[in-house]
Amino acid sequence: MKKRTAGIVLLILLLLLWEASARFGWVKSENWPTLVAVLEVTYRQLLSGELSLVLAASMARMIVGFVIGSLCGILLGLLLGTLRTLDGFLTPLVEAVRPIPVPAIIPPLILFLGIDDALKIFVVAFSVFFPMLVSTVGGVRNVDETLIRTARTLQTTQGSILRFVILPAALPSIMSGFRISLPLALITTVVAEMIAGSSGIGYVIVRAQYAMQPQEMYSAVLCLMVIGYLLNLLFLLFERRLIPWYHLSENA
Amino acid sequence: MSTATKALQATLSFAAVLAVWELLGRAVLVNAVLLPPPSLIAPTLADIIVSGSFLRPLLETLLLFAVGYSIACILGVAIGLAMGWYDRVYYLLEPTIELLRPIPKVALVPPLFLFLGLGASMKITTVALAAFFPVLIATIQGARGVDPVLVNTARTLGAGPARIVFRIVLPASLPLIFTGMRVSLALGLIVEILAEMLSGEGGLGYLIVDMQRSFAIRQMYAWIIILAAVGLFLNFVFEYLESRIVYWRGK
Amino acid sequence: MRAFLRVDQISKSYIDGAGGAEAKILNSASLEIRESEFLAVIGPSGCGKSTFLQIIAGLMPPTSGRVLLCDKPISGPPAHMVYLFQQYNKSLFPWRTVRDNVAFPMQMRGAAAADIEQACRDYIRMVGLAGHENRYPWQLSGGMQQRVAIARALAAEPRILLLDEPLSAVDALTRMELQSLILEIWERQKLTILLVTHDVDEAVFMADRVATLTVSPARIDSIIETGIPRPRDPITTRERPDFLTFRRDLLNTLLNRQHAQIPST
Ligand SMILES: Nc1ncnc2c1ncn2[C@@H]1O[C@H](COP(=O)(O)OP(=O)(O)OP(=O)(O)O)[C@@H](O)[C@H]1O
Ligand SMILES: [Mg+2]
Repeated sequence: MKKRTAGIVLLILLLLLWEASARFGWVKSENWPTLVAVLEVTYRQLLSGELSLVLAASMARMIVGFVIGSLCGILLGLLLGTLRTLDGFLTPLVEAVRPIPVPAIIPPLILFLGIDDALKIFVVAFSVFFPMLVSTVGGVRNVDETLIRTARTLQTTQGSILRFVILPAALPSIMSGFRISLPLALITTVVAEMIAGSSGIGYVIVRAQYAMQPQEMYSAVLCLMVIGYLLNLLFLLFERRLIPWYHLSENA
Repeated sequence: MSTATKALQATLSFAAVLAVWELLGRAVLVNAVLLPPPSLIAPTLADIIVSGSFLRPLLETLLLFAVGYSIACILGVAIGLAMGWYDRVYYLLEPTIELLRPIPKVALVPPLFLFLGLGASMKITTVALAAFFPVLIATIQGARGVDPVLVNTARTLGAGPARIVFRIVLPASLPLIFTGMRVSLALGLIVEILAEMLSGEGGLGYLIVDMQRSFAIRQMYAWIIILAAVGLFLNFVFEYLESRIVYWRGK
Repeated sequence: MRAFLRVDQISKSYIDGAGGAEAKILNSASLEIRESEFLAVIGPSGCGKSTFLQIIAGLMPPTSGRVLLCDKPISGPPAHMVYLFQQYNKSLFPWRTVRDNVAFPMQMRGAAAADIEQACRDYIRMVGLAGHENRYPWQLSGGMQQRVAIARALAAEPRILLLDEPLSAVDALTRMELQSLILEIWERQKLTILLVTHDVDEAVFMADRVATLTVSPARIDSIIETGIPRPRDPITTRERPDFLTFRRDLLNTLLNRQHAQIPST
């Protein structure tokens, strides 16, 4: 803790600088509210339910999309990782679609799915799918051949090898996919809500910008920051529960 | 599997997808207006390419992206090395970075409109912001993870601190730095396209939204294909550079 | 004695990655293993010992020839035959504790939880790891890891144990301890053991019969029956004149053959 003192002092100074620059008019701009004002608006809107309901709806869409996308990615990844031929046919398609930046698929999808939940869930699932697929395939490929042979001589069936050997051995790699796809899900949710605006936290930001309500805008960004932080925390917790052996064994 | 088999399999599956897409449209299983078959998109795409009208928006997107991305990479690696190598710098900056890192950077696009307008400086800034953090974090990790044996060997061979940072720590962290830069590449492109779409000004992102709003569906798909090609090309360049620069990375 | 396990003229060629050229590793190697015997196969490093043993274990098909277990040709790993890998650190499941690693084969058989618990305790005690049940493999030394692998192999209730240089990566003292442990288990469980090694000392010390593999492409060259009395003692057995004679003769064959291969300039 002692080591961080200077850093925390710096952070507090920066926040004070923000407050002072707005309060004493060092930055002359309509768009530069004081930190206190932003916190106040956030507090009021969270309490009144205005912001909390929006956040809850966005998170619900994000979670549904995330679960669908990662399940599909992991399942297809297990398949492609174990079946070479299928891999040869499908991987080129995946590689062709994967580099498309996700905002670009939203306009055509609006034509089919409208601008409501279906669109946003689909877009989140789509963006999560690729990192999960790639990391699962990589994990399955890198399972040490000796482990699989050991299981075979111990009379393990193909299905059990997949479940008891390949899946746990690939889990660290799958988790590293989650490390990428979890923040990506949040990003994509916001992107989709901004482009196909009608509701959600992303839409709130865009609307506040049009309406010149900087306090509302910053308070939405603040909420997203907290959510991003919590997601990371959640991930670390899960990682410690699911693969406690991994980091320790790597250092051994 | 040999290269020839792989190429054959890839060709077959692309052909299959195009054929199914075409048939879906022909058989009126999907709305051919909303999803025109490839045979209708291809001429539009050819027009755009032959007339050269793809060049200006493409260059605009690429240029702004490249500037923002380069700034992010240079700053990320420089600050990352300083933080990874000097504990005091690390502890000084860490709280601030931990606070800013979890913000989904796309959320900063509208606030930046207010300060920087809709033009180039806004786009460069957002791309740089989005691409900065993955590079920074990867560089710190890389620099902190350098094997002390390597550093001590260099020390006993008489290398000074500057040499150690640039000749030992930087090269040893490069594989991780590239991993971070790869994440940044994708993120930066997402933010660039988003900024173009929201600002309604210039570039491929703007064109895709614009075509959709004016219901020029074929053009919209043509521009998406061009953008996909850009993504593919950037990935390819990235992989090539990575394989040349960290050729020693084993398999 | 009848042939319990018979290796019938197996050959193996690997296709070399890029070029597609075939490299012949095994050249119609034949071997008969009697029930309950301890047979060692020695050969220099890289001559194809692991390949030979993995074919017997049904882990890879031979290019030609076959392996018969009780006169039935095998295809795929047969039950009651367990392979102990050279790379023991890679063959243990890092996400399972010692106990759970040992439990693995019994779980795969669908044994009852209570039986598994009891059997795990017995096998772990048998290899001298009591008290380490809840540790992870990577928290153990190399010798202890190999003990876990042995306990896990025993939990599969094998009749035949295939050992692929199981002790080549542990230190000299641990190696002697584990040699005695394996011999003890072999006698107690009435196992049939096929050991491949490049360590002549180990082969003569442990086995009833010692077969030699020639180099590239490998085939079984000669088989000698040592007849050194059991139980064998790590110190006194190694001082016996017949032990020393066998050791010298085998070393001579192996070394001479390799010298002969280096062309004179
Ligand atoms: N999958 C493979 N593909 C191609 N060549 C292989 C393969 N596995 C082994 N070889 C080659 O076959 C030869 C014998 O390998 P093997 O592992 O059976 O030898 P070994 O006697 O067990 O060696 P060591 O004493 O090092 O364990 C080696 O030259 C090796 O390079
Ligand atoms: Mg071997």
